[in-house]
Amino acid sequence: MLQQLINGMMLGSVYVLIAVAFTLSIGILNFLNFSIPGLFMLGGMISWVLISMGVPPLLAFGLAFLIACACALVVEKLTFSWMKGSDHEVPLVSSLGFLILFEQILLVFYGSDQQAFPKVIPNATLKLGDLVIGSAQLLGLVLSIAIVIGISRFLKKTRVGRGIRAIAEDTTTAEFLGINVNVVVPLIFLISGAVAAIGGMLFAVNYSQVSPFMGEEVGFKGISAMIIGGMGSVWGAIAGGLLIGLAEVMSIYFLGSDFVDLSVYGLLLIILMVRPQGLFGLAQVREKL
Amino acid sequence: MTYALEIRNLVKNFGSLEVTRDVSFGVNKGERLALIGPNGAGKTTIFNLISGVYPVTSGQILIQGTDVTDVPSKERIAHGISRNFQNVRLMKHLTVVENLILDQHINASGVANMLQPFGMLRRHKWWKQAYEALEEARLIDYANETVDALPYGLRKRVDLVRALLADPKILLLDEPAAGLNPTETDELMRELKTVAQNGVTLLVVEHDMHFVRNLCERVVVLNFGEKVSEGTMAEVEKNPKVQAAYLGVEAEEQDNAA
Amino acid sequence: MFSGYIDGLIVILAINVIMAYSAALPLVAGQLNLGTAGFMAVGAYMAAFLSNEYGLPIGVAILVGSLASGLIALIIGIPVLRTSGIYLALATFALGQILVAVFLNLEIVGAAQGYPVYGYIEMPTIALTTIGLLILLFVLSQTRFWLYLTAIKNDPTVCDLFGIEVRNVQLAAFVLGGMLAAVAGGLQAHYLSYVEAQSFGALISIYTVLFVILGGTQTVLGPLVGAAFFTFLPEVFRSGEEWRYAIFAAFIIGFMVLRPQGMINANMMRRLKAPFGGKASA
Repeated sequence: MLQQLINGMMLGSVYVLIAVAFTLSIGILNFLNFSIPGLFMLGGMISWVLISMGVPPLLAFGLAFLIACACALVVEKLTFSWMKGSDHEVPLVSSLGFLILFEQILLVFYGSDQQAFPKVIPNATLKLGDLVIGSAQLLGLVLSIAIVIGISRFLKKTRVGRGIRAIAEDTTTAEFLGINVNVVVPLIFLISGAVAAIGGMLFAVNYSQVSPFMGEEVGFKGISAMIIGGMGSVWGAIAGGLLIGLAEVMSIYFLGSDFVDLSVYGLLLIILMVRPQGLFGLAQVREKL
Repeated sequence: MTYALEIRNLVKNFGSLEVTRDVSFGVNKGERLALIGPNGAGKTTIFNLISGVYPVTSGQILIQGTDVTDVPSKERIAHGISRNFQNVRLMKHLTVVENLILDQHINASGVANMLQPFGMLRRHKWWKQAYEALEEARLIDYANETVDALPYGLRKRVDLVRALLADPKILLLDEPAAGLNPTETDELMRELKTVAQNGVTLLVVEHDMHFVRNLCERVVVLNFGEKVSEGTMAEVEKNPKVQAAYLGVEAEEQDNAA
Repeated sequence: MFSGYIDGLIVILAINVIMAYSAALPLVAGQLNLGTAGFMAVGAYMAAFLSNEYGLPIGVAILVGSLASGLIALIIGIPVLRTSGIYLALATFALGQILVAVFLNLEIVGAAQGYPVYGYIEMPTIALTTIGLLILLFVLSQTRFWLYLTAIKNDPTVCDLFGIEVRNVQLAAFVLGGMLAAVAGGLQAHYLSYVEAQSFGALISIYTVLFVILGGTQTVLGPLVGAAFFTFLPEVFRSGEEWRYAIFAAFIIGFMVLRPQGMINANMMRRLKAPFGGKASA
């Protein structure tokens, strides 16, 4: 039971990263960036490709990270910056186009099968009585929480971070305050893409498998985590991510794997009907962060 | 005698912010009354309260002596209230004639009306009414243009046609002359006088004092949500409170400019 | 009548077209429904179950399935439609996932193993049903109801002031959309002779919305054009088999950059004819 709790937290840590990536995009730009699951997948898949080509793991992760970041910037150029003033579904559609594009390109080269991701972290486990905690999992959990806290501090303490928050309030005001929107908006895409890519790598290391479609399921759960925690709230993303991870692992444990969607999305629907702003969100999305 | 439209001790608070404070006045049938005052005096708020955009905090709104304070906005339309919007809220993606048909909802509610495929029926009365109104306003040439393709002055004219289409008894006009050139303003004035002569009560919010002086018989002056004066234009102009209200604003504007 | 390939393609087109309108109805009023696949599943399972177990004629079974789906949309739509924008999109998304997950665990219809369907309908029946639905939808587009949908997307506050029952109109669009999706599901189940919960994944709902936005929501023809385009374009690229969906995705991105209002927009239609057949300007 306690073991399940820990497994749930580990899984949840991946959702936390995806949720943070989404929440940055939604909370600041009011844009549901559907390419995030694609960037998540790129993080995992490209690392696998490079490692299987013989590139040292650390270098492979670094390169995959840079490629995913570059892709995030391309997404910004071709979705958000073109769509100002259009219906709100439009950037959603074109970012979805990017998700499909990324998936299909990798599909063409590597097929749709699950690929085994090599063990890159020594197989040490931490044993606390009956509890088994993998070193990779522990690293994942610590890393995600650290990243999230880092982002939160960055937004609060630095000049650029305050600039970003000013944009969340109002673009015109931000420009008036001397914040260069043309720099800060791509920066937000970059940060959220980078976080998603790291999530993909963590997932690959933790669950030892990757595929071109690995982003979809995790992406949907990550969005749910963001909503449950409260859109635009970084702390909400942590809470929502861990909660979804727990709900998932617990429902597998008690009810069987076919009940996962029922409990996760049931939770989401109930939250949306009872408390649409989420657990940590304020009634108005844009006031948070 | 009962007023066509009367408000009594109207109060509206947004949170702790008092937007209107204890405002009372009445408008007679067929009268042309202007509501004036500096920006932020609460004029548009009073319009929104009368048309039912949001509920009052306290006070009463009466139409022909009937209390409509708690009546939903659609039933106020049935009582003969019609309004325009300060920044012309026509449906941008619909055509002019579709906008007019849309506003006829009150005379065409109910499921049976909703499901009539009038679009295919060229001779349907909804088309006829809308086209006739446009013909009368000499706007027929623009009937099938989408609103977002029209210049501002034309949109304002269409908005007025729309507001009049429902045969209102009381017409609320929020800055009808704003953004119009002098010729258009004069035309509007003539049109509104005709409307009033036909027994429609006019309540107008307007900054253009020349327009107000020529159109309206009486004015109510608001400042900081309170009524400071009421009477003919000549009377209120002499009121020191009114002068203070406007001078205060001018002084403020000069401060801002400096 | 045609080769199996053409037959199959026509059926896919028909299903895609019906699904496109199921998403388009709420979307015309500005509401994104990302759960249409769930309603499709309800229609598929319900119709299959009724024709299998109770021997109902297939047409009746599909109709009942559609009504059941409409009822679910009504019951769930009332609380869900209190939200708007992104919240509504995700609530409908969750709803779609839940509906599918329910069937995945419902033993009476085979749960995860899938559910064989014994009744069979041919391609021409499906094509004719779709044409019939299109005619109904065209008529609906000529009513005040459709006008209100467009207006609500433009400015719900003013619609409310005009006395239009915004919430009810939106709910009606959502319910009609749910019913249409169920018809698509019922038809598909009886054509494929098999229902499988896994085939109603979230991507079906998302693709459906893509058809609609690509086609455009400003006119009644947009969703039809979008769905037809989406069905045939990948076929056109068949020669480049494995690259076709990648090309297709690149096309979507490029298209949205160049023409965010969709393929068919209102002004285009107006140049072809005066709207609603009204008097041409003098």
